[in-house]
Amino acid sequence: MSALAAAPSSAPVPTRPDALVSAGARLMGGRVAVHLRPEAGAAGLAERDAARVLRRIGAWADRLSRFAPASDLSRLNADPRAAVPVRPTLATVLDWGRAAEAFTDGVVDVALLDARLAAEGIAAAVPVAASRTWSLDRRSRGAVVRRPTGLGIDLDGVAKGWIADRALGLLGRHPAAVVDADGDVAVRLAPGERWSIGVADPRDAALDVAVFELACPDGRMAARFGLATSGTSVHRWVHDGDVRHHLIDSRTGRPARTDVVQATVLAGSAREAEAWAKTTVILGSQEALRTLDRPGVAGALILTERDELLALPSTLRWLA
Amino acid sequence: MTEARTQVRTPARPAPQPPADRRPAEPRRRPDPNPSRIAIGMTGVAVASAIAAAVLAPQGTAAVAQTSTPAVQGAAQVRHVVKYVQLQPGQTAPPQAVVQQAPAPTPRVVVVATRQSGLP
Repeated sequence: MSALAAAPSSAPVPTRPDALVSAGARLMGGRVAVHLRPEAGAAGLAERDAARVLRRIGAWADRLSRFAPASDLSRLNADPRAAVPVRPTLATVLDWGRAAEAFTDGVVDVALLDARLAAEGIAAAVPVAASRTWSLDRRSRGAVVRRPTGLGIDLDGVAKGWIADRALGLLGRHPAAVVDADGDVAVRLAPGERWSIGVADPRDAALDVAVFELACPDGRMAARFGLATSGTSVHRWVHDGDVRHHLIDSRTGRPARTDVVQATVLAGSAREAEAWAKTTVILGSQEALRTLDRPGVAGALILTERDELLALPSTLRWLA
Repeated sequence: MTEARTQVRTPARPAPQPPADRRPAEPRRRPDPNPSRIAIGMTGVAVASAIAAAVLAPQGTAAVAQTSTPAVQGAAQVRHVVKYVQLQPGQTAPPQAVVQQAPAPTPRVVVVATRQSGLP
């Protein structure tokens, strides 16, 4: 896992010009944006970089979307063979999915497409099957996926954070860069830079429940952060009189029964934050707080159905 | 907003220890007071895992309790759970609780906000 930069020191951080270059697009079913604070005189370069990165994000999303019939993921899920070759982008994301499954003890599980479709009322309800095992055999380019025929892959909780981190890696020449992949945010700050990231309040679109102040003190290496939010209040629907949402509990094969309305996690990368945010919602507030108390998780905010806002104590140092 | 219920559980007192031998008992020493008070929501059962939580209430006041220091009981390490709860207007904090004013909701002024996917 990527290392999280040191917490901001108490020393004052020099101010920088407020010039900001931003570009955005509707991608992945939501809003994606790139924000750059360029060096003096480099605004034109920043605009070109932001536009270029947005195009790359669109290309990755096209390969990884389960809603696009021609995407690499859709072709994998439709392939009847037991062993299916996949291209490098999907192979890398699946590799990350395996890693996320391991460090979340199976809570994040990309092999739950059937359960997700069942929750949406698209397929018959499926029990948690013992044969949800699959393997990834990496090759020099791409990989071979081996799985039982009919086992579907869904990259929810895995892909957007990965995309945000990957895009951030293309913006290294700017002092501050932020990639917002539909709410999963990757941040890189050069020494002396600071950035505020709000946490949207699901109960009121005009408000934030909190604001994270991320900074890289002078004299340190560049700092990287990831902030991601998951929850049950946006993607929820009623099916057969039952209120359902999109976060499947791998232990039951059904939408998680949870007291968490929304969870936000701060980690060293957007993909780690995304996996932990999803895990938090699925586990519920109390078990999640126990689970999140570990290295690699810098902070977490949990909004419960009782309107409590719970936080790991380590979160407080990051809040405005 | 749902009304918060404040549950106050006082910590269970440890069982008195039997004397080590039959000599006349020496005057009992005053036990060291636990410098950290637990005001709300402490579990009395020894568990292996620890939970630490703080509530930052978007509105109104919040009661804040301090954590206890970990205690070692045989092979298991015990950490008491501390839960902060939000007080509704008119409610009062339990004795020994530290009341902390919660920050007001922040109007959206920042450029970027993390949020659940699919929001406009």
